[in-house]
Amino acid sequence: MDLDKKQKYFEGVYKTEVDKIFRFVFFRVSSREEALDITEEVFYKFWQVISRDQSVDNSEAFLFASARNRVIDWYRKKRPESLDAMRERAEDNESLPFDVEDKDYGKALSVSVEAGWVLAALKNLSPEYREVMSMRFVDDLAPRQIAQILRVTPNAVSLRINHGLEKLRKELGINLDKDE
Amino acid sequence: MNKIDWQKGIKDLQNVSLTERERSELFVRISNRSPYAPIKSHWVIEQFVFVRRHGFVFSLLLIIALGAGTAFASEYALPGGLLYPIKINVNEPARGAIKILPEEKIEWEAKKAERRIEEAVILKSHEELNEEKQEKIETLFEKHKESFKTKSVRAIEKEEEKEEKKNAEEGDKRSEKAKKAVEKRLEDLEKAKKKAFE
Repeated sequence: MDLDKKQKYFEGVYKTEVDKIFRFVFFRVSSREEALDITEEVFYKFWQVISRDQSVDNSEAFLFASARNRVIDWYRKKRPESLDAMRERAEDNESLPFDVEDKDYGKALSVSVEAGWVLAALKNLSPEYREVMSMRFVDDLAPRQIAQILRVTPNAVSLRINHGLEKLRKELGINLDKDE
Repeated sequence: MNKIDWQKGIKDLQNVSLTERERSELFVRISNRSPYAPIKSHWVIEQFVFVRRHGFVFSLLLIIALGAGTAFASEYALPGGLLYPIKINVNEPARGAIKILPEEKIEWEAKKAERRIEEAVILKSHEELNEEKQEKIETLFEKHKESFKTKSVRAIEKEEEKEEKKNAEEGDKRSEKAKKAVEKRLEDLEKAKKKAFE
């Protein structure tokens, strides 16, 4: 691919994915500025990869996985914890939390009351279900894509979504199916 | 919260996006960055944790490796790069200092000029040869070329002085030949430079 084609390809992916990646990061770091910086780094890395003719099978999965890694790094820098604990957490592939420091969650992010409720409901789920549920409903990713990003099987993702839905039904009385 | 609240909440969350201005500014910022800068691996952090656990051994190895590693890595540095000053201010003078014969030292000056041309060619192929880098390369190129010329002329004059005492005619021929060789080398360097920047 010559440089012109690479630039056009990058521009196309940027146009379709930038808002999704920004959103993904924003709800996890709760700061527009931090989210913008991380989004820039994610797309810059993607630009570096395609500039070097390295193949990217699924650009969306690549971008989400890259965003997830950068948010994990952001949490590591933010939280004063021992390096050993960091390593153990990384080895355990612990699920990525939302930034839950603000109690008045929706308000802090300048989103509607209902959106705040959704975020609070997701926040109440255990990390294992929270991440998958958020990717499925907020980021609108298919189980297959989530599986690629988290490097687990699609079956494991579907299972976690089912458990998450069950928890929402039991704890909040919301009856949802996978496609809602 | 009921199902309708949930659906509205999800829809609202999905409507969160960048402003037009943010979107275009971000794109410009990314486009202005060089895609050829080294890719920072996510694994660097994990490796760092490992290094911390074996601090003493790694400190020792690091001290040994750092000097040699930096010098080696800087050989591939290009203008604008972090290691480029090490390449031109440390590596190259050090390589020049170990040349023993005067002709080797002279040749090293021409070689350095050629290295600047190579850098220009690489930067050009990556579309990173901007005005500032070109100016820097040209300045260094001229410096090396001048040094090559001065040292060559001085060496020829020295030879001439020696030859005068022995065989003047033979000496003249040899010094003429040497002068032509120097001129030819300078011409070749100029041609290569012109080609690199055209």
